[in-house]
Amino acid sequence: MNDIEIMPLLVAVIRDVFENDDLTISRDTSAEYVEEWDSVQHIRLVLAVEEVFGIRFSTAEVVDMLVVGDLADCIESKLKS
Amino acid sequence: MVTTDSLDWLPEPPDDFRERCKAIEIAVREGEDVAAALVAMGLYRHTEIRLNRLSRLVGDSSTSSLVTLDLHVLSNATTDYLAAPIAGSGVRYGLRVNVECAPFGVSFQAASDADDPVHGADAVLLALDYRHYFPALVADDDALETAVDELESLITALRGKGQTLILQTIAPPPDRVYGSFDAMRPETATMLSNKLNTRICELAEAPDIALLDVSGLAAAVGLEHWHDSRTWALAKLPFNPIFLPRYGDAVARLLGALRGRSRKLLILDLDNTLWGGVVGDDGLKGLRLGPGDAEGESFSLVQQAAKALRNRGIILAVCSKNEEAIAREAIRSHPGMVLNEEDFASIAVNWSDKPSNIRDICESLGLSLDAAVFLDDNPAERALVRDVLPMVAVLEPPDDPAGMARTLTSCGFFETLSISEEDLRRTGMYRAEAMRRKARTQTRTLEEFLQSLDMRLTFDATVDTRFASLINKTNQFNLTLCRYTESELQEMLAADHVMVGASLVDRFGDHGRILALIGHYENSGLLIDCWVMSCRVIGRGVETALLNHLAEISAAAGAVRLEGRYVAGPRNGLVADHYQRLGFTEDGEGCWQLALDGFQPQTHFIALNGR
Repeated sequence: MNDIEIMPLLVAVIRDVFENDDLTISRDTSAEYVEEWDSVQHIRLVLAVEEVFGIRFSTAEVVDMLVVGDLADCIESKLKS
Repeated sequence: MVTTDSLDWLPEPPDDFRERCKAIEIAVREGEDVAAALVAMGLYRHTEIRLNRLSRLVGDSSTSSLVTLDLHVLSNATTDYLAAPIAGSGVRYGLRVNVECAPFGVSFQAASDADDPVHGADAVLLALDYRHYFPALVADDDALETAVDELESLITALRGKGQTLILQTIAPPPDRVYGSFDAMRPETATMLSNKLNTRICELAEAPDIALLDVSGLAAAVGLEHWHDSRTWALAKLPFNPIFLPRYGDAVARLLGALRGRSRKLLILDLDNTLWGGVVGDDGLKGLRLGPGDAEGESFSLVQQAAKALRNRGIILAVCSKNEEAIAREAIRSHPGMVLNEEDFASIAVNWSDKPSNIRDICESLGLSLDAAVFLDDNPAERALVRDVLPMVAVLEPPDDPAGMARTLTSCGFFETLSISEEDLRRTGMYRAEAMRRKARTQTRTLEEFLQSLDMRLTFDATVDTRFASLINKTNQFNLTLCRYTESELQEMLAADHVMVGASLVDRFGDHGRILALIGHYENSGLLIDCWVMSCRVIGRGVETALLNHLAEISAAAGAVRLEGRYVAGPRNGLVADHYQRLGFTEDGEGCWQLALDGFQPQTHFIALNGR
């Protein structure tokens, strides 16, 4: 899977977690942009992404994900390895 | 690898889950009662995300007829993630749970602050984690006693406000210091956790304390899966969040039991559910059941599980498409049968559709459809029952019968907080009821029928577990829908409330204690605060006998009238005109009164013991 395939799936997961189908999400979207995106929701999002893509992030990776692009890149590299 | 834990005994949600949620959302906004729709949605296997969505709906549906319960969660780990799975799972048991979680780190202070809202909750869950007590894998000598002391002072600070306290056993860490030897060393976290759990279970013997066996749940899914160091490091989450749906369900089913929402009846299919094969085609000898056949062993396990449930008071019934004579013959004479004909309170074997049969079974036993659980190997039958009777809990067994028994033992619809003698005798009582119904058709008038029953009633004033469970589990013959814990009832008894219980025996059997009434004297009247009766004895004249009894004791106490109220709820329409039938008159404001001056005892056909 490459970035073009990953992004739509990722956006769907984000909208699902935040229960908001109208969220506009790009690679640059950060937690500040989404009102409910606090540390608790961040963990929920990470877990949902792991389930959908069948991967598991390391502790450090979870901490370092600052924008949606980081998340997408991390997914891509996990799926390659 | 990511293992997704799911609630195996429930089906995958429908594809249009989100659309259905939106429809419920709209119905809520329009002020409709969405209770039935929410319960139906709850009976699916849900991920944490879907539970979040359901919990949001539950929060908005304050006008629904779901049973509302306020739960406070206090924890020595983070509680941020627990609220939605608990509230979302609550609808599975007909509950609208308002969950309040104290923030991480300040939880236990809340208990000692007398003004904290935790003291006003219906239930308080102490979600304990081993790391708080045994932060290293090896602890000091006094670690156990320190933990028990802290727990006891928490309990002291929280109890006595009429709320139920839920204590959670702690899941021991999977880590080993010595190896197997850890289990023999008193200083290891494993050993200490086990010892602490023993103490927790002892504390939970108190009538106002319930036990949530998280240690058992964690062991069942595997401790190495349960404990997730990463999410602990990231968020102080005390267990792997893939188990949030499972944990939420465990809490919700306990709360359901607390509010009398546990189910009472298990309806079983026969072919490929209680035995392998189709008895009408394969014949008695062709059935796979019992030792000597791998699949036969699986069906033995299903029957053993059903038998164990029956022995603890769950009513069993059969609903099968078969020739009745052939099916009964197999039940009676197959050597592999663990269950026998007498274990079933009702047997519906015919070619009618299953929803109609299930409806008939419930009606003949005097149970409502939301007290029923249905197990059938046939996905089409399951889908039909779900569709027509969404209030029935339809289990989702795996394709391989080897897993079917586990579906019964892990499903949680039969959760209970205590066990009484009545529970142990229940099937016998329901079978006797079926025989009584037969007797009714053989006698001529209702009076003759009632006389022929040879009923004997014994009044008492004993407040015990059965008295409390009658009040908390009776949904139909319940005038005011009040719920009290056993300890609250003891306090009321001590405060001179009038408490009346009674047990009934007739020529077919012993009904046990079948009613509970609470009243108090005020302004020279006896005010009836609570009047519940087992549906098994409706129409037998027990209410008349009780009225006469009340008139007698209250007149002796100097009262000049009886007063009662009826509070309408979703399932107690049966008693809407209860007081009217007994000759009370309404004062225009919902209060029913009966003057004792000139009261003549009313006729019934029950002999009173002790007279």
